[in-house]
Amino acid sequence: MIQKHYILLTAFTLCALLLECPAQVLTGPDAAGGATSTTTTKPGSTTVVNRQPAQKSKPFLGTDVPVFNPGTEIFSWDGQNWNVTNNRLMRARFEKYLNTLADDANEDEEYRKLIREILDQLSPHRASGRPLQDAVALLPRASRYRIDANLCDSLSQAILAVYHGQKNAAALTATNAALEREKKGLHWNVEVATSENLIEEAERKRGGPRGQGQNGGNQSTGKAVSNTGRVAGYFQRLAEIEAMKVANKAKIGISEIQAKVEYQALILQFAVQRRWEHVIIASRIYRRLFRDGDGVIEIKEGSDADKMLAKGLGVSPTVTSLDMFANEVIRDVDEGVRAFEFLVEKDELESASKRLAEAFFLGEYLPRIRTLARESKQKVQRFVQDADALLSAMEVRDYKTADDIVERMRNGAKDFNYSKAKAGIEFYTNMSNSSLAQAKIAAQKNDMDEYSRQMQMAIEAWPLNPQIKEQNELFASVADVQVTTLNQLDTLLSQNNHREIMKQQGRFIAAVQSDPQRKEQLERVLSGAMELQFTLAKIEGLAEKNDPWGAWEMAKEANSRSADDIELNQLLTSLTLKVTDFVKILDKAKTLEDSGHSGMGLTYYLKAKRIYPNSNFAEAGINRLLDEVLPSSESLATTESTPEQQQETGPAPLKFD
Amino acid sequence: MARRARQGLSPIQITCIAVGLVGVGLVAVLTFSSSFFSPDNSLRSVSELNIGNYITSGNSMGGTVWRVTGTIDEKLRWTRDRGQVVSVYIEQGSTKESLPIVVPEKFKDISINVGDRFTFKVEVAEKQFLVARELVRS
Repeated sequence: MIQKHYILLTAFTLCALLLECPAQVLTGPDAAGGATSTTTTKPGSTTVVNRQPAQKSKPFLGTDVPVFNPGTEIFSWDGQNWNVTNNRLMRARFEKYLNTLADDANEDEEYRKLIREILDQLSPHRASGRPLQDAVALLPRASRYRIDANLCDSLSQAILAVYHGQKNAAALTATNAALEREKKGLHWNVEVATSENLIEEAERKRGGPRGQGQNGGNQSTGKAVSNTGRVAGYFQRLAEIEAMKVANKAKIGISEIQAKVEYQALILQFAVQRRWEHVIIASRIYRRLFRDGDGVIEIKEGSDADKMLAKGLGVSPTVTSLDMFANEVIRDVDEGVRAFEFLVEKDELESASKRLAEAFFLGEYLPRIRTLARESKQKVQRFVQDADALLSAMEVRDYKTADDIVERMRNGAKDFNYSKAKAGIEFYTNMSNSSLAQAKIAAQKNDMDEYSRQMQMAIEAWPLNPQIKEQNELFASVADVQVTTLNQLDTLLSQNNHREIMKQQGRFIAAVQSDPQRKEQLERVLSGAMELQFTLAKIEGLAEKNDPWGAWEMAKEANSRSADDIELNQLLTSLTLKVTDFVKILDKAKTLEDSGHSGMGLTYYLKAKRIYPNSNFAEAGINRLLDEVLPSSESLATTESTPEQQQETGPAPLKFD
Repeated sequence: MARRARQGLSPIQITCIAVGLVGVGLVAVLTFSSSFFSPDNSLRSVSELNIGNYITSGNSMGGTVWRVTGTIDEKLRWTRDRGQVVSVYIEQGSTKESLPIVVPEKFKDISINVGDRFTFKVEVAEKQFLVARELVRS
C-alpha cells in the first residue's frame, strides 16, 4: 500500500513539476478524439470525464500517463526516462532547498498556527459550534500569507460557488413548491369547472328551471362552452407548471453536480501540488458542504486518470481517501525527516540525503520540511553537491575529477556506495590508457592510421586523460625534431657532405621513415658513404703495404665518385705527393691521348706501366689506344657490323699496311 | 846417292791453286753481293730514332722513318691476320723506354717473341704510331 502511495505521490510530484496547469481528473481521449467535455451522474457517485481537445497524431508531450518504477527509481513519461533522485531538475530544486533558511520567521509561524486552527475547527471530533463557518472565516486570513500562495482564497472561492449553487438550488426548490401549490389550485379549478358542467347537463336532461325554453337552452350551451375554454386554460397552465418543475429539478441537479465537480477538482489540484494541508482542509469542508455522503470520484475504467488514481490507490478514490492519503503523507514526511536527522548524526550522508530528498519531494510545503534547520541540511549539502559534481564529471568523462570526488565522498560519508562510480572510472581510464599504449606502439611502427585510431579511442574513452596531452606534446616535439632533422639532411645533401650524413645516420634514418623519396636518397647516400669508407680503408691499407701507386689509383677512382669528400681528397693529395712521377706520366699520357697523339700517349702509358706494372689506369689507357690502332677481333667484329654502329662505338681502325 | 831437288810447280798443283783462287774469289763476290743487298744494309742507311725526341715532340715527326733496336718485352696485341703491336724495350744511353711498334700483317712469317731482339725500321705514322716497315732479328 505504501509502495502504491509512493507511485502516486511521485506521479503527483512530477506532474506538479512538469505540467504547467494540471486539469481535473484526466481521461484519455476517446477513439473518435472527441473534443467535448461531458459530465454524467450515477446514483451515489460522481464521474468526471474531461476529454481533451482533439490532438495531432504525435502531440507535444504525448498522451501517456507518467509511470514510476520504484525498483529503479526511473520515472517514465512520453518516451523519456528520469531518475527521480538523479534528475537535474529534481536535484536543482533539492539543492536550493538545502541552501534555504528554515521557515522560522514569525509570519510563517503564524501561518502554521492558522492552518492548525482551521484544521482543528474542521475536526470531526469538535462537538459544538459552527465549525464550517469558523473555519471558512479563517481562510481569507490564511490566504494573506506568502507561503499560502492564495490557495486558501481559491478554496474560499470554491466554497462560495458551492454556496451559490446550493442557494440557487434552494430557490429553485421554493419555486417548484410554489408551482406545486399553483398546480393544486388549478386541479381544483378543473374539478369545479368539470362538476358544474355535469350538474347543468343533468338539470337539462330533467328539464329543470335551468333547461327551460329556447333561451334557457342557449344560455346553458354558452356557459358550457365557456367552462370548456376555462378548463382548457387550466390544463395548459398545468402543463406549463409541470414543464417548469422538471426544468427546475434538472437545474438543481446540474447545479449540485457542477459544484461538486469543481470542488473535487480543487481537492485533486491541491494533491497534485502536494499541498497536503489544503487537501485535508478542503476534504473536511467538502463533508460539511455536501452532506449526502456522496464522496466517490468515479473514474472511467482504463482511462489515464484510472491508471493514475484508482490503480495507484487500489480503490476508487474518494474525498475521504484523499484526506486519509494526505494525512499518511504528512506522517511519512515526518518519519523521513526523523530518519534524516538520525542518519546525519551517524555520518551516513548518502542515505540521509536520499531520505530527505524523498521527504522533500513528497511534502515540500509541509511544516516539517519547511522548518528543518539549515545547519542539519547543510551537513548533507556538501555530499549532494559532490554527488551532483560526480554526475557532471561522469557525464563529461572527467574521470580524474570524478575519482577525486569519489574519494572525498568516501571520506565524508560512511555509507557512500562508491563501487559503481569507481568501476566506471576504472573501466574508462583503463580503456583510454590502453588505447594510448597501443597508439604509442603504432607510432613506433610508423603506422599512422592505427595511431590515429587508437588516439581517437583513447580520447573518446577519457577526453581529459592527462597522458593524451603529454602524448600530443611529445608527438609535437618529435615532429619538430623531425622537421629540423630533415632540413639538416637536405642541407648536407645539397653540400654532398655524405660523411656528415654518415656520422648522423641514426637521426636521419629515423627522420625519413615517413618520407619515401628522402628515404631512398638517404639509402643511396649511405650506401655510397659506406662504400667510400671501405675504399678509404683499402687505400690506407695499400699505402701501408708500400703500394702508393695502387693506393693512388684507388683514391683517384674513388675521387671520381666522391669528389667532395674531404678525407678522401686529403688522402689523394698525400698519395699524389708520393707518386708524383707516376701521376705526371699518366696525366701526360691522357693529355696526349685526348689530343690525338695516340702513339705518344701509348708510349707514356707503357712508361707508367713500367713504373707500376699493376697500374689499372695505364692498362686501361693502353687498351683504349690499342683498340684505336689495332682493335681486337671481338671489338672489330662488333665495329664492322654497321656503319652507324661504327660511328657510335668509335673511329675505324687505322690502316698501316 | 843423293836425290835431286824438284824444280817448279806441277800442273796439278797449279790447277788446284787456280781452282782455289777462283773459289775464294767467288766466295768473296757472293759475300759482298749478299751484304750489299741484305736488310742490314737497308737499316744501316736509316738513322736511329732518338727516343727522347719522339716522346717529347713526336707530333712533328710524322712520316719520317727511323731505325730502332730493342728487345721485345711484351706483345701488346696480336691478331691472326692484321698484324700485332709489340712493346720494344730500348736503351739509348741513360734513356730507357718501351716503345710500342705496330708490326703489320706482312711480317707474319717472322717469329716475334718476348725477349727477342730486333732492329726495326719504323715510320712515324698517323697519330704518331710507330709502324714497322722492316725488321731484322739482331
